[in-house]
This record gives sequence, structure tokens and C-alpha cells, in this order.
Amino acid sequence: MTLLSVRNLTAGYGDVIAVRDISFEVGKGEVVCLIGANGAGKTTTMAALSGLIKATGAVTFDGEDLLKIPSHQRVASGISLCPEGRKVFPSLTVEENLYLGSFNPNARRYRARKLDEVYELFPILVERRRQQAGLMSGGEQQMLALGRALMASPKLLMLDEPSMGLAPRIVMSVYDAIQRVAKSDISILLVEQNTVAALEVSSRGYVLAAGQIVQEDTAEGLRASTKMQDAFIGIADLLEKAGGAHVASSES
Amino acid sequence: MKARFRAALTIGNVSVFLLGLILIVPTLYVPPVWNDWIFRISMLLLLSVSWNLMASTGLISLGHAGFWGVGTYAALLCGNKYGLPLIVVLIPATLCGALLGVLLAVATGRLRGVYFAICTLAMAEGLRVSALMLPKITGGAAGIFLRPELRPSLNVLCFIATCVATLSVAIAQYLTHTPFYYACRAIRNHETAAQMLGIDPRRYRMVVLALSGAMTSAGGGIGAWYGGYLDPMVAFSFMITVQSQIAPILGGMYSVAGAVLGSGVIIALQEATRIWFGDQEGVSQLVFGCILVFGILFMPQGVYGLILRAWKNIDENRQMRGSPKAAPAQNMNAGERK
Repeated sequence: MTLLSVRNLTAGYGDVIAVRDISFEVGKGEVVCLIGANGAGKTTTMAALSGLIKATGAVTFDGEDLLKIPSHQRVASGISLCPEGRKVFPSLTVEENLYLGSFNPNARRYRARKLDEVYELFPILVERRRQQAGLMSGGEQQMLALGRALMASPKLLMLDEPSMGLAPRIVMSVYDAIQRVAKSDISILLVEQNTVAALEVSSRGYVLAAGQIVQEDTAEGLRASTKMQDAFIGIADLLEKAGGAHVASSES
Repeated sequence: MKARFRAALTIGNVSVFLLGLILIVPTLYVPPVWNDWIFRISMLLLLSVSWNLMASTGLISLGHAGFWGVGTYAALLCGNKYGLPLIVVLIPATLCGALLGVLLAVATGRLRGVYFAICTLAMAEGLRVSALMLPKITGGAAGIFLRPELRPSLNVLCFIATCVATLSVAIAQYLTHTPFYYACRAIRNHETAAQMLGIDPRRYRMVVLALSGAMTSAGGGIGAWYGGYLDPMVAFSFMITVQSQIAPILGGMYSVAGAVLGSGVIIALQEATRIWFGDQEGVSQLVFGCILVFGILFMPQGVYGLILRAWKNIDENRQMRGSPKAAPAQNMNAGERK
């Protein structure tokens, strides 16, 4: 059963188009990843889905036309973003950050229960709960950002580069937590550069390169694929195949 | 959690109540010099609390003179035209301030930081120039006087001023316990992140600006009644803007207590330097300025931050010594989380 269906999504910043005509879907309870190199359009896709930038196309979420809903109301319809670079509220305490996660009236009803769940998922946050969020380590902040996104009682959790800027050991513990979230009935759309970690938790994945989806497969299929390596290393080749010759011309 | 919440609430409320008591009650009995001090503290309280409200949302205002001036003219013109007492004209003055706040919110859209600050400055200056160029309404550069028969006694004037100031502090204090305030702080920290969590920044900005504008304009209305004379330079004086931010910055930004402490400290400093160094021309201002500069240099968190840190140190020392007083507090903390 499809929870999020994206058809021909095009988005960008001003005149610059960063993703063009991409289509993908996320099923109920499924973990899907979008992988790709720097500048492939992953974060743009996330920003478009959460309404931070304007986009065209058809996006259906749980039967609703998502693009018609203003961004501050999307979270109430059950879609929650854990943003790139964490973006916790640095001068607020950990607990206040979490409270803000359940700010919308739909989520506020479950606040106490969700808070318990988040604290169970990340025991470190219990110890830190009166501390200013800005004073915590990157890994702790990432856990807080994840917890804050979960406080909104989402049906779909969108994670934007949860491994960004973290030590490998911390990445593992963050992904441990994601795995535990994935076991509940929350669907996850995961955006990553760290393909190894991302494919470990996902069941399916899409490869983005230069704003287009170049491959779609199961996690096992993608792990074995050579095309995915191309997407990271040989962008010029892919672009040429897609008809964009400006990279080649700039070399001459 | 709830127990702690309630404890914090009473400490805050009791302080506001005491502040009101200290300010309001003496106005009816004390000599005029004292009343002058009390009046100035009240005006500064209104300015600093309203400025701090905006600052807490990440909106640095350089245009409080605009709100103030609109309040002064609304009050004075209404009073003169219809012969209304101060209490009544405060209503249109407050409404005009709130309206100006809403207009400013609409006009500035999502501007932030320096860009927003410049807009507020432009608003205040624009209003001042407009007031100058509309002599039929405002009296222009010649100014207008309050009809003398409307002017209440100093005691009554100070009573009203202190009541309004206390009310504004109480409102600000009440807000700190509401989700509204959480949202404002979140917007100050990360506007996009707040938006993703379902907070509509535009709505909150509008309410904050309206509230802040209303408070300042109420102050302006009372100030106009106190002075009895208005011209655009007085009404939209840049000093108002400066004063409104010095007090919260010296007292401690982003907290009501900081704004209140700052207001008290500023007036005390101004008076003390005037009394002690007043006989030599300019020296008092020099001393006052130096104290401000060094105060802000060495107390980046303000007076309130200093107090908080001292309090924390005492608390930690007590816990380290393991006195019995600290133990139950820790147990309580453990019990709160379930």
C-alpha cells in the first residue's frame, strides 16, 4: 500500500532547477532510501516535500495532495522531516526541543507517550534533558533531531543525511536507532551519501544523479550494481547519456 | 516535570506581584522626586519588556521610537479633540500601536536580522518625517500642547503608569509559560526548522509585533500626558529606540527578569551619576557611558545572567559538599521523569 507517491516532481531555487521530473514512492511501513552524490538533488527533494521550497508535479501523501498544503501544516498531516545538519534549537533545552516536535495540535495529544518512547529510544537524551541542545556533541544532536521528528507522531519520517559530520562509530549508533524506528509501523524516506549505511536499513532505493533518478532497485540489487558507483564517480558519463553535454564542453 | 513547572510559575508570579506592589503603592504617597523616578522606571519597563519580547523572537527592533510616537500622537490628539481622560485615550493609543505592529509584520514579510532592523528604523524615521509634514494634524514642527485641564495630578499619572507597566511585565511573564513563547524561541533559533515542526512564523511574528507595538504605544500615550507637549522630534526621538534596547541588553537579553532588572539598573545609574558627578558639566554622562560599556563588555549575559551563574555556583558547591538539602532535590528530579 502506497503512503507517499511522487510523480514528476520538479523543484529548484529561483531559475535553477535542481531536480527534474523525478518519480518515486514509499509504501506503508517501508524504508526507502534516496542515494546520490553531492548536488544530486537529494536535499532539494526533501525541501520540496516538506514545503520549504516551491515545487511542481503530483505528490500524494496518504490520499492528500501534499503540494496544496502549506508547509507548517504538512507536519500535522503526518509527515515529519529530520533536517540535514540537524538544526536543533541551540539555546533551548533538550526537553524543550522535544516538546516543540509535538507542537502541532494533532501530535500534542500524544506528547507524554511519545516523550517516553523517544527517551527509551535514546537514553542519552534523558541524561541531557535540562542541557542546552547547542552544547551537545554532534551525535547527541542528531539523536535529538531524530527524537524531535518522532515527537510529531509521523506516518512518514524523512531523514536527511543522518550520518552527516559524524564519526563512524556514532553513525553506527544513529543507524541502530533508525533500525529500531523502522521496526515500528513508521515509514522512512532516507536520504544519504553514506550508501553502505543507508542500504543496510532500507528495503528499496533510488539513485539520484544530477537531479534525475537513474536507477531504482531493491537494496541487494543496488549493492551489487555498478551503475550506482557511476552515479558517484562518473557523473559526466551519466550526464552525457542523459543529453547534457555542458560538463564535457567545459573541459575542452 | 509538573511540580517544577509550578514552582517556577510561582517564583515568577510572586516577583511580578512584588514588583507591582513596590511600584504602584508608593505613587500615591511619596514626594514628587520619587514619583519622577518611579515614572521613568515604569516607562523604561514598558519599552524594555516590549523590545525584549521582539528580541526573543529574533526580531531586533531599531524602531521602537515609531511605536512610541504613534502612541503619543494617538493619545494626545484624541484627548485634545474629545476632552477624554488619560485612561480612555490609552485604548486608541494601544490599538494604534498594535495596528502599526501588524502592518510592520505584513510589510517586512520574512525579513530577518539586520534587514528587519533596518526596516524598523526606516519605519520610525518615516513616521517622524510624516508627522513633520502633516502640520494640520500633528502641529508640525511647532508642536502641540495637551489641554491643561486634562492633565491629572502627578500621583494619578504615576499610578496609571505603574499599573500599565506592571500589566505589561505580567503579560510577558505569563507568556513565558505558554507554547506561544516556545514557538517564538524556536523561530529565533531556526526559522525553517520551526516551520517544519508546524509553526507558522508569519502568524507568530504578527502577534509578537502587535503585542510589542501595543505595549510601547501605551507607554507613549502616558509619556505624552506626562510631558504635556509634543513635536515630531520629541515623539519619535531616537533616544527612545536606544533606551528600549540598552535596558534589556544590560539586564540580560531574552528574559523578562533581565529586562526588568535592566530598567531598574539604568535609571539607578543615571540618577546616581547625575547626583554624584552632576556639578561638573558632562562628567556624569561620561561615567554613565563608561559603566554601560564595561558592564556590557564584562557581563555579556547581563545582570540577570550574572545572578543566575552565582546562584548555580552556590547550588553546585552545596551539592559537592553533599549537604542533606541537595539530596532530596536530586530524588525529586529522578522522580519527575517517568
